[in-house]
Amino acid sequence: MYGFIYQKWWKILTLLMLLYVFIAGFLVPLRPGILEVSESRVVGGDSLQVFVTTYNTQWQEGDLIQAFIKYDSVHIWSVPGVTLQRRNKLLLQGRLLGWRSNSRDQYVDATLILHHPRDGFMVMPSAFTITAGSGELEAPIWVEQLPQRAAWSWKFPFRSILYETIRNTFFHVAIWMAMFVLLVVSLVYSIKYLLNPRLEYDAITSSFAHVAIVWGTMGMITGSLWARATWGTFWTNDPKLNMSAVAMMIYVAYAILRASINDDDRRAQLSSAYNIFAFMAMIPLVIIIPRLTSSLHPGNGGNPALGGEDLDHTLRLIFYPAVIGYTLLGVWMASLLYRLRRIEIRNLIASLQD
Amino acid sequence: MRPINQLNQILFLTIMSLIVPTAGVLAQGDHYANTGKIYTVIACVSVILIVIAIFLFYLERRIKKLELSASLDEIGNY
Repeated sequence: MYGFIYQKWWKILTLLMLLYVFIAGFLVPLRPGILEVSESRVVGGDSLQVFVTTYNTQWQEGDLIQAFIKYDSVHIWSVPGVTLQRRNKLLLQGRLLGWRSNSRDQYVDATLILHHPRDGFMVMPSAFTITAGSGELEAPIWVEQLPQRAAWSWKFPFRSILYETIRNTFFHVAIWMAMFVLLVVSLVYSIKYLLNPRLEYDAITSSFAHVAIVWGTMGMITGSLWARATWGTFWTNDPKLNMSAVAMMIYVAYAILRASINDDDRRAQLSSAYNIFAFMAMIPLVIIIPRLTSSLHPGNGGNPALGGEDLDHTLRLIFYPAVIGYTLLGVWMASLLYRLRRIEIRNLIASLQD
Repeated sequence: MRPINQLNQILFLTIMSLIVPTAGVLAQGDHYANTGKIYTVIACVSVILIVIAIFLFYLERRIKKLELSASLDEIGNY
């Protein structure tokens, strides 16, 4: 069974997968999207003159570009004057569709939708805040009249706030997933050790736990950098962040516990038992508690991740190999630690016999 | 010596896999100037590389210790 760790094919597979992840993770472009509008507060019924800056668009003169302003599910206004300024800049002109004020709402958050035959739809939610003006609501355009969706292409989704950092799905999320797999292996071998006390099992447990700590540290640092780019701060008092910090501390305590005991059997016994508790503590801390409260972090408190629109097909095509790649790289690193540990144990026994 | 060669392989491939696509992306120019957020991704990838490098140095230190103790045992062979 342990012959697996001496084989080469899966190590080459690991490297190829990670190579694919790094190359595709950087080279696949973002889908075209709307970066900003020059004026977001507009009055219904007034004449509209707004510049729209787009992202990753290579538009040329003569392209059929359509612009729509969506008030609600029924009222969608097709902007009559769409002029291309540059390959990533549009000018929208026209007399804005009126909007009737009622007693409850003084303004409406309207969505800007652009359509290009090659690039498909670009949507910017809450692009305009339209205050009630003199105009009346005109004849609505029904959703069925919008142009057809563009075909699937090899591109990452364009998300406001995230922008290019959506690529961190492969360099942050995947690392945490791999860490969970490594910790499960560690848990299984610590249970095996307690059932059948062989130092070999303990060596496997500790190797996997140590590599998992390395992976967790990597996940924390990359997450912190990502938070700086999206939330504006390296760390906030968010349940997901604080609880994962606590879980990491529990595993660091595992490493310290091991380092502080000299007797091999005693260390193996204590740390195996501790490892089971550490895993049982980590699951509610990292996975359950943040889901019960509200959290900024995707995947928690009514803020889903890895489901629906968050992980689209193109991301999946790179995300799953990334998870497998980091897991196998972790297994490789753990197997090296295990082999080293085994030689150390053998030397120790040999020196005791002398 | 075999494990060390394989680790060098990882390091080499990781570095290559970082340099090649990054160069391609930065050559595209103005897209990244708009948001600048690609540098966050580059920082995260650098963190991964640095942590793997730290692991390699740690492993090397432990192997060196073993090598030293082995050479002391078999001092006649050297």
